This record gives sequence, C-alpha cells and structure tokens, in this order.
Amino acid sequence: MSKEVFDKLTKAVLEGDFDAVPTLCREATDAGLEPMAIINEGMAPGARQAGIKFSNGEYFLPQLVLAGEAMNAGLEVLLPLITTEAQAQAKGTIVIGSVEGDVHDIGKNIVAALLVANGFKVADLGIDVSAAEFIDKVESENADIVAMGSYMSTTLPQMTAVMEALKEANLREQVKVMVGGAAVSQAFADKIGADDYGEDAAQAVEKAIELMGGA
Amino acid sequence: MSGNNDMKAMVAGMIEKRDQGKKLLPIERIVLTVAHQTADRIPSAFLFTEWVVNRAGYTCSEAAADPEKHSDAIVKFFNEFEFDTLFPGIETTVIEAEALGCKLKRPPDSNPQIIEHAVKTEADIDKLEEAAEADDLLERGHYPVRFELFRLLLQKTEGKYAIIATPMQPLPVAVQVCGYTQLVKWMATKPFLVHRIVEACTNACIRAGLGYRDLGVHGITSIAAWNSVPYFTPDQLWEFDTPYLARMIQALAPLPFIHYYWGLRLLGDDWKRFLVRQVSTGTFLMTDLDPDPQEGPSRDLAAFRELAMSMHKSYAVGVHADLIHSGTPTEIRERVRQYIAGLYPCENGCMVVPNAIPAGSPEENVRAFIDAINEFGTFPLDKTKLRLN
Repeated sequence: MSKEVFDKLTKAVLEGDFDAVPTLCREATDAGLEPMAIINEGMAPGARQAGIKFSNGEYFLPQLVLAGEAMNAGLEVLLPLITTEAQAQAKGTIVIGSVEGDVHDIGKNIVAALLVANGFKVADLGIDVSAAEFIDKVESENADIVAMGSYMSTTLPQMTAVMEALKEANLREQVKVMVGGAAVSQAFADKIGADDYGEDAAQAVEKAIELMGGA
Repeated sequence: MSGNNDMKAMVAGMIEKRDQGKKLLPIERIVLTVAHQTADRIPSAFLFTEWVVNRAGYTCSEAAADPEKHSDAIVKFFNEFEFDTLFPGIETTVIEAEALGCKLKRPPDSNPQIIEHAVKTEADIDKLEEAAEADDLLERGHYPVRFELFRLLLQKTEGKYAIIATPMQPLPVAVQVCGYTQLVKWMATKPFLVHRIVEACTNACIRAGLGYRDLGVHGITSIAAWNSVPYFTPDQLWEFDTPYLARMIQALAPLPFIHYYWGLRLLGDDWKRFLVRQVSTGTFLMTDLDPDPQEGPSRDLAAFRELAMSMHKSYAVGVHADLIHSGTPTEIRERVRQYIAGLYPCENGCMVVPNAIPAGSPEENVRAFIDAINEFGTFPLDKTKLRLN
C-alpha cells in the first residue's frame, strides 16, 4: 500500500499536479502512514527529480514551479500533523527570504520547497525582508543557516546589511549564510563573506547539506 | 507607396554618405541596420537607464518622476558616450501593470516593484478587461510622465538619435497582473482564462504603442522580461506570446518594431527552430542576447547571422549585463571582440549590445564596451585585430 501511494505522490509532484497531491496525502494519512514518511518517501523524491530535470534543461521554470506548488499543497495537509519530535529530526533549520527592497519570490520559493523536500525545517520570511527581521527569526528559530535571495543588483547592498546585522547581534559565528538569486554571483558571495552561494535551486540544496556537514 | 519610396530614398542617401567615408549620425546607423544594410560602424544600444540617471546625479525615483531630469540625463549620456540609441526605462516594466490595477512599491533608487497583483481571482478578469478598454487608460499612473519623456527626448535630440519607445509586451504584462505562479497554474488548468488575460493586456499594450507612435517616435522596442526560456516553455510562448505580439507589431506598423529573446542556449539544438518561429511576429531584429561563449549551440554566432539573413532580419547579439557590472575592461573588450569575430563579416544589419548597463556598473566598463565597438566594429572590419587571419 505505502509504496503504491508514495509512487503516486512522487509522480504527482513531478508532474506538478497540485490538485491531486493533497488528495493523495489525505489518503496516505487515512491509511495510517506517518506524515514525515509521506513527505520524505512520497513527495520529496518528486521534487528532487523536478529539480534535477530543471538543472538538466529537461524542465523549464513553469514545470519546476508547478512541482513546487504541488509540494506546497501537500505540505499544507501534512505539516499540521507533524509532531515536534519529528520536526527535531530535520537536517537543520533554515531561515530564508528575499532581501529588503526585493519582491521577487519565485526562485526563493523553489529553493524553500526543495529544502523542505530534502528534510530541512524552513522558516520562510517571504519577500522584502529587512535585516532586523532576519535577525529576529534567526534568534527565535535558533537557525543553522540564513538563506538570502537578491534578484536585482540594486538590492545587493541589503545582503551586506544583513551580514553586518548578524555580526552586530553576535550571531555570525553560530549561523551559516547562503546567498543566491539572479543578481548574485560567487564573487559577490565571497566579497560579503557569505559561507556559500547557490547558482540554482538544486545547487542551493546541495550547499545547504554541505554546510550542515553533509547530513 | 510614396512613404515606401521616401524610405528608400532616405536609406540610399545614408548609403551614399557611408560610401563617401563620412561618419554617420547615430540615427543613420540605426536606420541602416533595421533596413538590413551595413553602417559605418556596428551600432550599439542598451535597455534601461538607471545607470544613466545615477551618473547624472539623480536617483532612479527622482528621474522617473521628472521627464526633464530623465531626458537631460539621457542627452548628457549621448554627448559623452558613443552609443547610437538606448531604450529608456526606469519604470518601463510596470507602467502597463499599474494602469491595469496592480499596486506598486517605489523604492528610492531601484525599479518599482509590484506588491499586489490586479488579478487574484477569476472574477478579477472582467475588471482587467474593463481597465484595458477604459477611455482614460493612458492617463492612469505614470503613463503621462512616460509620454512626456519621449516628447522631450524627440525635442532635445534634434533628430540625431533614434528615439525608441518602450511599451511592455502582452504576455509579460499578463505575468505581472496575475503573478507568475498563478498564471502558470492557469496555463496548466484553465488556458482559456489565460488567453482572456493576454488578450486584455494586448489591447492595453497596443494602445500605449499607438500613443508613442502619435508622438513621432522612430521605433518600438517591447519590453519583455518574461518572454524567454526558461520562464516559459517554447510551446507556451508559441501559444500565449507569439500571436499576441504579432498583433501588436501589425497594429503599430509601419514603425520598426524589435523584440528580444535570450537564454537560447537552454534550448540546445532547438534554438534555431525557436528563432525561426518567433520571427513570424514580424520583428525587424532577430536577437541572441546571451549566447554565452562557454556553452550551448547558440554560441555559434556565424549560424545565428546566417539564419537572420536567411529570414531577411537584422540581428543583435548581447553581452550579459553581469559582465558590464562585474567584469573588467579587459574582459569586456575581449567579449566584444569574440562576438564581432563570431559574426564576421557583420553585414546587413548587425548590432552588438550590452543587454543593460546595471546600476553600479563602473564607468570604465561602459567606456570599455563602446571603445571595443569602435575598435573592432568600424567598417571595413580589421581581420587582424579580430584575430581572424
């Protein structure tokens, strides 16, 4: 039973079927399957495969976004059912957001969905996030990683502002920083002292796993 | 018919001037290029004017709100650099969306951004259609400021520069009014709704274009942003972008009309078929804005040039904005050399452009680009300099 449901979920996420995924999730929980297992063995492989297909050029952005939407639709059903204990098994906690002045959210949403698919607990601050909001969330979530996105060259200075704020709040030593987005490059990441740079969503997930010690 | 003969006579006069070894005016280089002729030097242009206004001492929001300052900054730029035209824009990408009901945030030194989409539910599509047909559409939001900018540019450049207006393109406006994720979901589940939305956006874009045409601008470049892969699949573009864009081009005839594609390398070996399909819109220019010399079949610039010429189109290759922003003058010069060498002999309508000059780009990089165009792109091209011997 479980393998059959998981396979259906993997396929539905991969195909971006955001209507079918919540239904399948409910069927799976009704059948007694654990929510974390449904995420990790059912939906996550579909999201990962979508990320790989996008990286390979086999998928275009709409297909990746629909896979992310399907994943999110399933998470809406499952996350309320996940116990604190299960959440503690996450690979790490990541605070993610598009920096202040930047309202682009597609790339950031894809990264967030793939991080969840890969077992991270993700606190998504959304768009136009100030340095103070990043700091507050890092503290309240006791985050392991801050992931910032900038999609316009004019918002790049906000990444520097977050780095400075982390230092001022004495948080820089305890939290890793990842950056990405259309306006960001490895050179810029190096310049501001970020720990890592993800060129695309799939690479961002790889880098996050590396930063957590390859868990 | 007489208009056609006038155009032929004008182009013939420019060719004669070129053949006499005289330096052409920037507008003459552009006219010859869109007429599939060879100018005295490969012309260059770029999108957006944040860098231009910052350099003149204005913030983006200040210049965007004040056409006098914006146009002064552009004229100052033309006087100091040898670009042949530019496609003015700070608020360019959001004018239509705002007029159609989107709410904006206007940061002091950046492009305005949409913070609330006009179409959130299916019921909102009726309102969108009404807005696109409204008598006062072109008086809404910042439209009057944009029209004043182009009127001033026409006046201040005194016919020496091609003034190219920059309305948005239908599908990208549809993305803005709905939000990308919502539009993509409807494309997958309710394509008829998407056609209604793009249809309404087409009407709005055509009305804006006609407004610019009435001012006397010399051409139109539609601002796209979302019209390329990987944002949509080639089939989605074929269904939701190409036919509407073609209608816009036909509505604004006889103005030369240019639209862009980039990311062609993502199409692999299919990139030529994609371009051939897209020129069915009637565009005057075929573009390969990000050939990326390191990867992808679309780096084959000779094939790109031959394809454009076989389709009777002018052709433009773009240097990525990142290189202008973060590269070195040496890297920029080398990239321009590579592209001109790749497009050699660059006849019948060749352009090499920086896709944009992002805010914060070093001035030496902008100069390096145009110096390289002068060095390598002045006809007759020097094969030794281009390392083609």
